[in-house]
Amino acid sequence: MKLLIILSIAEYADEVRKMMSENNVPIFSETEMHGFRTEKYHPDVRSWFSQGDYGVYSTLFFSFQSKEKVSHMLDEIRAYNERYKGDRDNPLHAYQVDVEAFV
Amino acid sequence: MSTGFAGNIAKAFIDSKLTLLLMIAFLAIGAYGVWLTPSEEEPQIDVPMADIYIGYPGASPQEIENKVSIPLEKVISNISGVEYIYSTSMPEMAVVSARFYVGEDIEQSLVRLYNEIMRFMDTKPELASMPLIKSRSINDVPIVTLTLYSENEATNDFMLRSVAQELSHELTSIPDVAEIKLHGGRSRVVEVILDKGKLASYNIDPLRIAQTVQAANTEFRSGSFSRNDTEYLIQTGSFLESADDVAALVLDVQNGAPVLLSDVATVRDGAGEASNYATYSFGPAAAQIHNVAPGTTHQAVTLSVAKRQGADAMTIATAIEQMTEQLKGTLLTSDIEIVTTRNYGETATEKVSTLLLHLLIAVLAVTFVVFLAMGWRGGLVVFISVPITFALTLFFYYMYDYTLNRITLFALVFVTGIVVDNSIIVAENMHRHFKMKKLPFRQAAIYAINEVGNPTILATFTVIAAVIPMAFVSGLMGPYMSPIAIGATVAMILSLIISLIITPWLGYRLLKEPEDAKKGEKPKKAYRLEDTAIYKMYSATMRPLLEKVWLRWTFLLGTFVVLLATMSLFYVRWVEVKMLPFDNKNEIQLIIDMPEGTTLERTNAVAQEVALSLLEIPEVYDYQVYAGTNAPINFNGLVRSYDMRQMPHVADIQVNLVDKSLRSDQSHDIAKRMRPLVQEVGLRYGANIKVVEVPPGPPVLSTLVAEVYGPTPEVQLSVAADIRRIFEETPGIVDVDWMVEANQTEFRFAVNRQKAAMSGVMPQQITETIGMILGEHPFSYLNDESQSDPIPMVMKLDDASRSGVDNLSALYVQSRSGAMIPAGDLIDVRETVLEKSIFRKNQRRVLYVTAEVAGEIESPVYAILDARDQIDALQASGGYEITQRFAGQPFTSEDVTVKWDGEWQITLEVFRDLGIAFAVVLIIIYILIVGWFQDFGVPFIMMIAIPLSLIGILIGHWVTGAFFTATSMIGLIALAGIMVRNSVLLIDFIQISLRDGKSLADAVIEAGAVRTMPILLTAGTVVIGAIVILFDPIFQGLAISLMGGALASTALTLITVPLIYFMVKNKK
Repeated sequence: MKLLIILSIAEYADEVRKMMSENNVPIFSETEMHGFRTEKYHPDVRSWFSQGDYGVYSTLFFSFQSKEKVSHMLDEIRAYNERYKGDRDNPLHAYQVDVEAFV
Repeated sequence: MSTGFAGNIAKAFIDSKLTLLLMIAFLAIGAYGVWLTPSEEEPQIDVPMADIYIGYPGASPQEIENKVSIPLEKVISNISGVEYIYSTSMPEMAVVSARFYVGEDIEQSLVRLYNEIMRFMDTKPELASMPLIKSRSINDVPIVTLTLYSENEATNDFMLRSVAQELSHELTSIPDVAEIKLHGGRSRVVEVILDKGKLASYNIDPLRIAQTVQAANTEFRSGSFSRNDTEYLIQTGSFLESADDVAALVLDVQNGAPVLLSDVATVRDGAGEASNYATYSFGPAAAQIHNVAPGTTHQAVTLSVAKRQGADAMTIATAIEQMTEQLKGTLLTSDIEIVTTRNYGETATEKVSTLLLHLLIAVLAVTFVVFLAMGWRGGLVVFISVPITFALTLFFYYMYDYTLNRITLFALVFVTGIVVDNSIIVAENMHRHFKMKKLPFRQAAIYAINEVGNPTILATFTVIAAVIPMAFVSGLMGPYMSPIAIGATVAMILSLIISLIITPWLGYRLLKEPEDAKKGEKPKKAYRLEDTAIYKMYSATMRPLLEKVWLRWTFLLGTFVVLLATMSLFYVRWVEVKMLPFDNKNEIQLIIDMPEGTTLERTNAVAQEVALSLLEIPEVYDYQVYAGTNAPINFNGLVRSYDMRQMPHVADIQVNLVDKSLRSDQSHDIAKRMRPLVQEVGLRYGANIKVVEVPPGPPVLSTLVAEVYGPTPEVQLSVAADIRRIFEETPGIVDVDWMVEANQTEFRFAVNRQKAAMSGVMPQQITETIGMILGEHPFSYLNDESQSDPIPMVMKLDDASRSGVDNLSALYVQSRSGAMIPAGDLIDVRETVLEKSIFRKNQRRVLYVTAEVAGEIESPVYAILDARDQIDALQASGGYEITQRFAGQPFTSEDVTVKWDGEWQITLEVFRDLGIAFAVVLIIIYILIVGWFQDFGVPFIMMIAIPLSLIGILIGHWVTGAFFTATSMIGLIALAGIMVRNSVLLIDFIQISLRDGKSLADAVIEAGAVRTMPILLTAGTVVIGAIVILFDPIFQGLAISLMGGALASTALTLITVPLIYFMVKNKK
């Protein structure tokens, strides 16, 4: 049993959902995220008006699946990122995490 | 999701297909609005005005004043909404005029007026006639005048008039044509020319003839009868239908033979005696085109056509042209020439299309500035956003019943520079975020909009707060000001909405960074503020000021001294204050007043002589002389009551100039050249001639009016004479006149009652006979079914026996015994001077001294300043003190008061109201900033920028030699909004930098350097947008204000405001 985590910016959430259903992921959850990149962030002084934060709206998907299913999904996402390489600034991120025990 | 208001709107529209549809819809309804909105030259002014005429036979002016004018004035002053009551008490007649406040509802006001006058009816003197109420409105001004003349001498003015009459019937059928008036030409009259000798020998007097004709000239339905179940109507009598019918009337039967009317008089059907003359002449320009000698003059008749409220002048003008074209050959025979001597439809359309063109140029120019700063994509976003804003504003005009006129369109030109600002801010910020690529594309767009959203809304409201108080300018100038304020406000609000809906959509599609730029050379040098040219320059200027105390005090004091120095330009008159400069029009009027008592023929001769001097001015296209009647009035004439000029001693000359595109001189300069030429001729014949130009703003009685109030008429007269002399002696004051009539001899025929009674003659017989013959009162009307108007019948003696009192009094009247008694035996002839009219204003007797200013002084303000001291030095007879008032009526007439009126009054009202408006603006801006910064002190620092704009404005006016006008003042007010907005940007950033932990000095310099670009961009668009209107004679002042003020105060704001902020915060 593995935990699949996919992180996508809000704009591509629909495509991730589509990918899930196409690949027969029977059940998954999602949650909206607001993420910050601190190391890249430094205030831009050319702004006309006051600055706020630079949070990015993303969506986090997770699903508990068999090892095969998860690695298949990772392949799919790799292919997906490859397809849009150079076209999009924000590739999908996917992670496979071991589930040590469950009841 | 923590997106703000602006971001939420943007999110809804940025990706929506609806946005595109909205854009198309907005542009379409804008075009629809322009197409439907009628265009006019002058803005719609609702000033309910009415003249009330009351006749009172036999009463002297004094009697009229006491019995009619004063009671009527009291009644009218009861009506709420009446601002001024003027009255003129003339011999036998009173004219009382009521003028309501500007903007009062016309229908309501008139109803109230009628209502109050009805209450006056039971108290009016028995003999006084029923009041005749004539309302006046701007729609009475004819928009088209057609002049008919013929080169064929046989086609005389009488024939022209009957053609014109027919033509006017045809023209009335055009939709939206209101009133058509004819000027010039004699009308058809049946004249019964009496032979005095024959009358005496047949024992018939004129009264008998009148009675006979009246008795014969009746016809009416007298009843009906029924027979066999059918009703038959009965008509009794028959009308007199031709001159022959009249001539064949039997007056008496003497010795078995009938005495016909033709036995004692000649009956003539045809042109009556001329009561006025109208001619058409070619000026130098028209003569060249038509290949005739300049000054060739033909008898003429002019038709003036007015339109209904809200109708499009151009549509009507075109229809009239079509109609006359179709009537050529039938009604307008080949020997009748027809010239369009006025076409306001054309001038309005021209004005409107010029302004629309200016608008387009302004948008293009501003786009160019944006292009320079942000590249072509940014330029395109702005270029598309602005027309959509304007399209919606134009549609608003249509919905709000505004017409397209020079004021409403000007509002758009005026805000162009400001309206683009919102789109620029949004587009620039999106552009910047797209370049940074810190956020995903769509989120970056929304973030960018959200970031500048609230400050943009605040900035928009600051500018709106600056312009909106103009909507509250009162008086006649109100309708010229409030559309600017309302139009500009609406455009600003719409531009805000557009910048949050349309601009993001456009920016999202157009401002995307090209991909290759990303792939290209990666190691781009990191952006460092300290490396930019602006920072280096700004730092080099600011650092020393921040470090050295004496230097910054010197700088601030220096700025203050410069400000004072430029303010003193007003005092030394290097910058002159004037309400509005003259516009460049294609017409000028000459108003000729001969002394009262001049015959029509002499007036006409003098007017023609004066007109000949016009031939020396090559720009004169053609002119029409109207003697004894008024020329078709224009807006100016409406207010000055020129339509009442129907006396034999007055004449008008309507001068048309060649189109302004074909001459280099403005009409005002031509008027200045014209004045000495015509007045030289006038002086020779004792005529007072005024050269009257169409004013650019609201018309007044005269540019310079001194109203003299005093305890007795004699004192008033002597003071008025002194003022008149002072005016005449002051250089720059021209066209001096006063409303005091010249002496006119009057013969009083007093009936000797005793003698009359003894001879068996009723006194009434004598007065009626003389009235009928000398006054040519029609005693009956001919009934010609083919004619639209009844043809009056008048009685007269042959011309030789009419002049001279002795001859006239040799008329006979028949006594009861049948004897013929010479009227001269029953009357005592007394020669007196006609009593003069009495003028009153707001229930006080007044004497008007009027003048224009031209040449040395162009503004009435300085004429008043020049004349003031001399008037103070005057000594009124009887030891009365002379006080001068600049506003409001004098409280009592116990002392002599000189009240300045005319353009001064409006100037004062406008600058006063704009001044108050400005004060309100400052308070509103203060409140807005306190709301934003949550600090009571900071707003004052920001508002320091406002007076600084005066430096640029005044120097600008001085360099260009332009007047400081009401439009300059508008510029000053609008700049206040922009300048405060700039200060907000600066101080806002200083506070942000301080929060980041920078030192005060660094924060100040950094803020200046960072915000210089956007501030300059705003100033740039304002300046460039204003260039277009720099060459408009009226709105020049505004352009100079915006350009000079924006440049100077932008430069000074960038230094002064941070500097003062530094000084204030440094102490703490």
